[in-house]
Amino acid sequence: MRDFDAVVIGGGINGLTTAAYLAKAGMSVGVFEARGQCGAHCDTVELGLPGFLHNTHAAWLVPAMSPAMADLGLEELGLHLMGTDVLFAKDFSSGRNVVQALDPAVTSASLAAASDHDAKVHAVIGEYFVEHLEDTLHMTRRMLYGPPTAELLDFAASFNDGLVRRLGLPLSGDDVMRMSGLELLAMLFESEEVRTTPAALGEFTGQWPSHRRLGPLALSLSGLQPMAVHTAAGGSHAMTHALVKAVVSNGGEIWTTCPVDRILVEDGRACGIRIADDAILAGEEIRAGVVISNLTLAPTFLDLVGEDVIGVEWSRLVKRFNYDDPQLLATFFALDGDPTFASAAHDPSIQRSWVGYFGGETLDELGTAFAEIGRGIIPDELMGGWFIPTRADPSQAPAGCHTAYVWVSVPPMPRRWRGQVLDGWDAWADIAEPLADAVTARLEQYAPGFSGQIIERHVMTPRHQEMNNPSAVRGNMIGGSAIPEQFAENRPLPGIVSGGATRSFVPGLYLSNSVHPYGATHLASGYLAAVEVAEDLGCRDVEWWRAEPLDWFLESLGRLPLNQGVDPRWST
Amino acid sequence: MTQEFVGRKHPQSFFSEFPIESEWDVIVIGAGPNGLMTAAYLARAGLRVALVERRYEIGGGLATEEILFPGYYSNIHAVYHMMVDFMPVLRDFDLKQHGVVWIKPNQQTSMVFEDGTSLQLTRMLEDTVDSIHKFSTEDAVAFGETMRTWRKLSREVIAPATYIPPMPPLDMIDAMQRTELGEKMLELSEQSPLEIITDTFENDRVRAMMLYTTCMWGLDPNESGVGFFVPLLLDRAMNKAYCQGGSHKLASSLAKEVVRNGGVILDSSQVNNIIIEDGHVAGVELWEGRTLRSKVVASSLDPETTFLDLVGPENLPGHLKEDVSRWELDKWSYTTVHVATNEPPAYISRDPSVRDSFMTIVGIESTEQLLAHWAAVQSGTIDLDAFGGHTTWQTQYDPHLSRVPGKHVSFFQMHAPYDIAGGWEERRDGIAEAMMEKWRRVAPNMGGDNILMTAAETPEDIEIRMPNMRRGSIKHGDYNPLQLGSYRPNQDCSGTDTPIEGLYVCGASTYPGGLVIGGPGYLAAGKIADDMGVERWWKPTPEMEKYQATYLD
Repeated sequence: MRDFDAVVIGGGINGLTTAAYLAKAGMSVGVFEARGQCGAHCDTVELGLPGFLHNTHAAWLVPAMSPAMADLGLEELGLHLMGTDVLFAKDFSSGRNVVQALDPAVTSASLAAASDHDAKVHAVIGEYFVEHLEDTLHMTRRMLYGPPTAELLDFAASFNDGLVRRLGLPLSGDDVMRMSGLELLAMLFESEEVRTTPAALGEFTGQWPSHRRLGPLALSLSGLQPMAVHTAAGGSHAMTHALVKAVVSNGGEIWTTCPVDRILVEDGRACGIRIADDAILAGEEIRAGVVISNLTLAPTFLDLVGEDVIGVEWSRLVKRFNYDDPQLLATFFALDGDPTFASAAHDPSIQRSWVGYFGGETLDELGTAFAEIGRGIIPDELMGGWFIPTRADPSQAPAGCHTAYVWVSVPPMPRRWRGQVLDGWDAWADIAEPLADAVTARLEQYAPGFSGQIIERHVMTPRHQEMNNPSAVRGNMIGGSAIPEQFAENRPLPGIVSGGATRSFVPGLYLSNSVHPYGATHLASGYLAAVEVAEDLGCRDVEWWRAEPLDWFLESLGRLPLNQGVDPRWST
Repeated sequence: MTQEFVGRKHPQSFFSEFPIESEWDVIVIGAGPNGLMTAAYLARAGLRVALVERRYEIGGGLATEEILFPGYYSNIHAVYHMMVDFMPVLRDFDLKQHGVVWIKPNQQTSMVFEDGTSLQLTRMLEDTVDSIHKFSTEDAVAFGETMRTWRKLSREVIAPATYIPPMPPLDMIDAMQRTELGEKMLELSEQSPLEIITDTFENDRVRAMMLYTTCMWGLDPNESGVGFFVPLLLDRAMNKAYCQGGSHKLASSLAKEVVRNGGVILDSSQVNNIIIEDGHVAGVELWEGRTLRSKVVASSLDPETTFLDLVGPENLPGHLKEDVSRWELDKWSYTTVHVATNEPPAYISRDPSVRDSFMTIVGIESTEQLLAHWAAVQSGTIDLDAFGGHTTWQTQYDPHLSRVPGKHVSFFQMHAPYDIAGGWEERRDGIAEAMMEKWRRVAPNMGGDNILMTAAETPEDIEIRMPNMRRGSIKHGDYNPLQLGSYRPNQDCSGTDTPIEGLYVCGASTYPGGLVIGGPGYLAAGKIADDMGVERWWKPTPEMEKYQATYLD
């Protein structure tokens, strides 16, 4: 095996992003993936009946914001993003709903039906963002696709300072930066329907609004809508395909079923990898100028670098890395029709959204449930989100049929459910199906007739997630909990990265997972790693590497297909 | 749950970065093994190639998927690769650099009987002879003697001929008469598999084993004129290879060659029709409204889809329409139960080597029973008392198929009719359970707590996943004398070009046929390169050159 300028451990989407950038910049790059296929958290599978495509991990795709769309030409390589004009729906058992839509008038009318006051607050936030569009864009771009710096956080604080003053809240921007999402939402809005909507959206991003320091997120979600959220034609795995093609067409190599069991460190510097003994290239050592780990923090340093190399102090720190945030119990449904939500009688636009949320109807209820989940209790009243990707891309199911991906928030180590004592991680084998029954019943409350539409159902617990991808410890989908101690400049942990967002304390070893901002499909941490590695290898200054985050999205927003699978009777 | 699920519709949508109309040198339809090969050869020859795949995943039958969700992968289609020793694509492309590794176990096939005895088919001829010896000394001797000729026949004649364009029958006879080996082949061709096996072996179980091995891919045991397949399939059945990491690895490696050489793969993208202008191919239209223009289109789909659905009967010159309408699909399809287990299947056998077997045939106790099973399948039923099939413990060679260390993935596959009495929706679970019950008779641990998950795959499922395998026809069409050689798919198209200028066929329905042998795709690539005046960057394999010199020059 020849040597590489750079090797990437793990062919998930961020690792592939880093690899594609470096390969395109002229570096020799090898990606080593343990599974038979790349894209661990960006998969599409025919789980049972053929023709029903289920996005078994990420369904909420946000690469539209990424500079990689333009730099790597991902659309041309087959990543075709599709959405619905109604972006998000929050459903209530009262038969009402709140929606967010591309058309601000639709959003505003929906909020006004809940509360005139809240609609006005929302309008003020919207105006503020528009008035300060340059600042808004700058902040979003740098927050997601740049290293978290003190200046940037100050900038955000002063931006928010202006906003809370405009809103007449007795707060400073610094206060906002320290608050939890739930606290801030209670101050912003009066209607529970409106309050819980940004909270639910936060949950979709894997960031729990009950955590401190999530005030800014709640604030931005209250104004900015999830406009950049899409599914991909043919399912989430299309994103993996496009990235694989980007790597390969630029001369990069991808080795699948090739688990790595060691990062080689010589004279304190990472200089290559060793392939595991049970793989092809068994036991081979591959030298590289730099090593990029797309695994999460603990496996990278404890399993691949080794405690003997990093020493006791670092090991203790790494072992403290928290993976215990609430996770998802995912149920995948093949349906013979499109579910009709009861609240469509109140506002039919919910039928045009491919993303929604049920349960958690008041901030108190959400706060209580979050607290319970934090203590290992599965709430009696399940809450969570649904995706019906076929409303955006009908090709993911046979004609006239749909798929639904319904998730509820659960503790990774459940201790109690419905008064029954559970033994944590091991309990998943027993409660997966009963929980899926409860999820089905819960959906039935919001969408009467749903159960009758089910052709088949599959369940995935956090334990299954970890089994499929051992780097996702406790099934954690964002590379480690988004708690204040692991946020922004502290991510993954204070001191692990320095001189940027991805350069680790082991020279030559970079992280494209577990680092800022957090794992999601915006291809951000992979982009950050690409930038920092390219700077260090001296290949950053190339003609094509020029795209700004968000630009592709802003230019393409008007032409991305909408509502391709929405039943005509719900069209406007 | 049948046809209505087949035709997905994709409304008009616009992806501006990929132009609404684009120009290509070659468009290949279908990214199965053959489509990938055609595209890979031609892309590397410097042509601008677009490969269009309807499914969300390329590979066609080279599919390794999480059918046992979550956590367990299975090769849901191709798993036994019989021609890796001869496929030119594996010499012309260095697929090792993409991590393609072939595992060739010595213990190729076991046939286990309920009384604990078993027969082995091995890579090492002598091991097979030893195994047959336990049943019949005469057959052990006969096998050793016959295989010496049959191996030569397979390796020097039939296998290399697979990658050389077909000859009309009379030319073929002339060519074969040049050597003694060729004469032997002609002699075998006249006979049916059942006649050849019955003439060669006397023990009933040995006969059953040989018959199963030669006919398992859909050869009719009573069909005269296909006898030359017997030496080929038997020799190749002793040399099956497993693609480490799963069969999809072969597909993904070929896809990387396409992309690396500048080719473009459009997945989740269906061809709605092939554009014909003045009798000449002009491109294809995709379901989402894009047009790809090209003077050359190669279709790896079945004849009905290519000619009737995509080209359209109104555009078919001469008697092509009649030829296509006469096309006969495979005589049977397959149904498979995939299972994830704590322990691998443990067979009750006196011979410990059964445990190492790549393929294990279960449920067949006699030739009569096997023939009755096949007859039932051909008449649209499955006799739950007489059926049998083959199993493979996949994690034996590929522990990575299980994402849970120490757990196992295996399957039990059997021949099955597409139209089953009662319908698959009704019968699916019952037949899957009957298969598990049958499996337990020889591997008692395949039940109870050992089973973690099961998933059944019926002929209808095969068709839904891959609509060009019509009615579950994995070879796109029957192997009978009128659909083989220069008649596959018909006399006008067996050279991969067609009466429609610029249209080529490169799938399993084209000479030499299906089963991931890498023939049609390779031949189409050569023909297209020649017709376009593009220099072939590849050379025939040494086996092909020798065949050429002996029989053709």
